[in-house]
Amino acid sequence: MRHIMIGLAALFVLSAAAAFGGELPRETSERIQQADQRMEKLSASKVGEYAREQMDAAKVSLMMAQGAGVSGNEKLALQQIERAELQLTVAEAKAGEKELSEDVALNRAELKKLEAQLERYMQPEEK
Amino acid sequence: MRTLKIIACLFLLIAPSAVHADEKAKAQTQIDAAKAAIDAFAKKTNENKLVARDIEAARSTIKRSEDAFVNSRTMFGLGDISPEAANSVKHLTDLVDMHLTLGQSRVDTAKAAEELKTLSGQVAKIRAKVKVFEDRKAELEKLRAGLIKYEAVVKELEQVKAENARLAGKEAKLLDGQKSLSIEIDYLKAELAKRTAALTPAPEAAAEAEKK
Repeated sequence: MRHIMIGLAALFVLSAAAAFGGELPRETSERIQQADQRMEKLSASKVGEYAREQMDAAKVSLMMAQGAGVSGNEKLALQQIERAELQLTVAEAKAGEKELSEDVALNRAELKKLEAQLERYMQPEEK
Repeated sequence: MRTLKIIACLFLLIAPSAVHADEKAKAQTQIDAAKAAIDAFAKKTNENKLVARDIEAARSTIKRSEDAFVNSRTMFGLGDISPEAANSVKHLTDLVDMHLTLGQSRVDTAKAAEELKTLSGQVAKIRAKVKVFEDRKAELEKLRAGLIKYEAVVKELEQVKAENARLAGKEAKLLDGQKSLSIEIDYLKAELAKRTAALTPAPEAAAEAEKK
C-alpha cells in the first residue's frame, strides 16, 4: 500500500513537471536576460557598493526567475523578474541617496572645520 | 454514534477551509496594510510630484492584488483562497512596499540634494571669508619677514656707523700725527739748510782762499 502511495506521488510530481516543463516565451526570456545584464552593470558600479543589501535581494529574485524559467513556470518567472526589476530600481535609488548622504556628511564636516578656522582667525591674536 | 459521525463529517468539511481561512485573512490583512501604507505615504508626501509615479504604481499594484484576491475566492466569497492566489497577494503587496520604499528614497534624495546645495553655499561663503584672513595672514607674515630684515639692516647700519666713527677718530689722530711730522720735517729741513749754509763758505771767501 505504501509503495503504491509513493508511486502515485512520484507520478503526480512527474506529470506536474511535465506540465510546467515547457519553453518560456521569448519575451520573458529576453526580460530575464536584460535584467541579468542590468544587474551585472549595476554590480560593477557604485550601486553594488552602496546598496549591497538590495542588490543581493535582486540577485536572489533573478536566480529564482531563471530557475522558474528553466522549469518552464512562466507565472513564477514573471513574478520574480518583476520583483528583481523593481529591486534593482530601488537599489539604484538607495545608492544615489547614500552617495548624496555621504556628500552631505563631507560638506558638513568641511563646514565645521572652516567655521572653527574662521573663529580662530576672529579671536584677538595672543602676544 | 450517528451524531459523532455527523460531527466528524462536518470537521472534515470545515478543517481545510479553516486552514485556508487563515491564508485568506492573512492575504486580506496584507492588502489592507499595503493600502493603509499607500494612503499614509500619499498623505505624508502631500501628493508630491516627485513620488506621484511611485504612488500611482503602488495603487495599480494594490489593484492587481485585490483582483487576484477577489478572483480566487470561491463559493460567492465565502470560500478559501488558493495558495497560488495567496502567493500572488504576498508578491504584489511586497511590490507595493518596494514602490513606497522607492518613493521614500526619492523624497530623501531630494531632501539630501537640497541640504547639499545649502551646505555647499555655506561652505563657499565661509571659505571665501577664511581666504580673506589667510591672505591677510600671508601678508602679515611677509611684512614680519620684511621687518626682521629691516631690523637686521638697521643693526648692521648702526655697526657700520660705529665703525665709521671709530675709523674717523683714528683718521683724525693719524692726520694729527702726520701734521706734527710735517712740522717736524719742515723744521728739520730748515735746520739742515741752515747748517748746510753755515758749513758752505761764501763764494768771495772761496775765491780768496784759492788765491792764497
